[in-house]
Amino acid sequence: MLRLENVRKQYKDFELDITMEVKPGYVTGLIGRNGAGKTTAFKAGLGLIRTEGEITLFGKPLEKITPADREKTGVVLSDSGFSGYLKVKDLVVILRNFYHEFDEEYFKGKCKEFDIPFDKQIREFSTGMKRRLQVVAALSHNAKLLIMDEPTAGLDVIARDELLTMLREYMETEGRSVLLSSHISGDLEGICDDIYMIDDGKVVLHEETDTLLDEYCILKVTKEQYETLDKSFILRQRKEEFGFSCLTNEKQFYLENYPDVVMEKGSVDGVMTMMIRGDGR
Amino acid sequence: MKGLFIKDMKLMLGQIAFLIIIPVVGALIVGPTGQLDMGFGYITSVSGILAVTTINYDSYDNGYAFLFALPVSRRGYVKEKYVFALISSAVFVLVVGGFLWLLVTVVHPGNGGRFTEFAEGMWSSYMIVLSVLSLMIPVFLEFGAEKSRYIILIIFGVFMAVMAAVSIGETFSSFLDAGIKGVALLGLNAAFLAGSYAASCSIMENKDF
Repeated sequence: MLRLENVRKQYKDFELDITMEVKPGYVTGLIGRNGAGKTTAFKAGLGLIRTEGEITLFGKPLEKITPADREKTGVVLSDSGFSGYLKVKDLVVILRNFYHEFDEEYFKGKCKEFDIPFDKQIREFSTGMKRRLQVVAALSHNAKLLIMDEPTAGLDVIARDELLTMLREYMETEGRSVLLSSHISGDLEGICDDIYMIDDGKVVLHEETDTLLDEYCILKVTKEQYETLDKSFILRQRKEEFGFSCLTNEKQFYLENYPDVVMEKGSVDGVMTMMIRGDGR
Repeated sequence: MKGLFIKDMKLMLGQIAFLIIIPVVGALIVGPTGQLDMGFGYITSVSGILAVTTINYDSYDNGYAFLFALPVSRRGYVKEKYVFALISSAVFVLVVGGFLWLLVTVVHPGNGGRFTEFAEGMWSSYMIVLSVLSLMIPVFLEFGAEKSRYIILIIFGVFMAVMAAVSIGETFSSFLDAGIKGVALLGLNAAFLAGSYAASCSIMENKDF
């Protein structure tokens, strides 16, 4: 669906250098600290910034993508949205003319469900309301790929859950894909098939979510245990007051060979913290 | 392009109070004196500004990033901006100019002038608006609303100074009759617009959002 290969973007004090792919039928998550390069990666994938490297969308180089191809994508951006001077009732007419497959009934229905006012300028909306509007618009025209940068930002727990339910429903149709980022790791764990972790503009880990949750763990070892620990499968380690935290992707190996070692179950947050703050072996 | 055009229409109609004030102010300018020329000067300056306000709305709050993630190409966006500006300013000049002409004709029957003079005035106004737009659109696309105000002021200052120095206007007027002048102005503006459009496309295609 979307592939970024050796995509580079150089800024004065930051460089994005990334290779990643959103496969058909996949929900791919992008996670990283603030300023890690998530939004830059999204913008690169959408052709909003000029980059080096190769980007393909629906199998076509990005520079050959037409507005008709763009109709097959639904987009939510964290730092940009519909003009604040428009009203939702204006958007209905505009989206009808932007997208051949715009589902007006769905759009209006979801706006009503989310209490999004039709006759108020968007700039008067709360952050959460603006986000919900973007998500509803992105889902309303039978897009094949959703590209969503922080779609749950500013939403309360209930609204987040509703949004994730909408994404799950969206994925029930075959051949669709989603690329999304969230600073709430629970959102990604619950919906993503695979996750890219990026830090300082680079991918530090790419893993299937199930593998990450099932096979990764953090070993909590004392200094003595650390000395005797087989470090062949340790990806990152970090000095702690009690000794060391060690990230591994071979939980079973350590379960079988070091039954006395305390193990913390793999989680997106835990793995990300270790991948970013921990030292290599 | 249709979606963008509708968006700009909606944005412009969103300023309905401002749109109503424009002919009212125009009436206050020409009403007491019956001098339609002053009205044309007013229409020219306001319609140029009005036509590019949608660029400000688009760029506000980093709106371009989202806009170009929709089914909108950068070249298509530029094309729509020119088409919208040309059409909206034509409608504006025609409607407000017509209103002021009717007002002068009714209030100052002696000053109203013939329709051909009014039409010539409208045409000249529109031609000047086109020149203004040729300049303003690429400048607004490149620099955004904030910086553009200063740049436009400087450019117009230099332009007026040059015009005054070489008296191009008088020389031009003395050699050509009204019909030829009108056509020549159209040709000149078409060339300006073509150059302006090419510059605007290049600006937008090389921008990061």
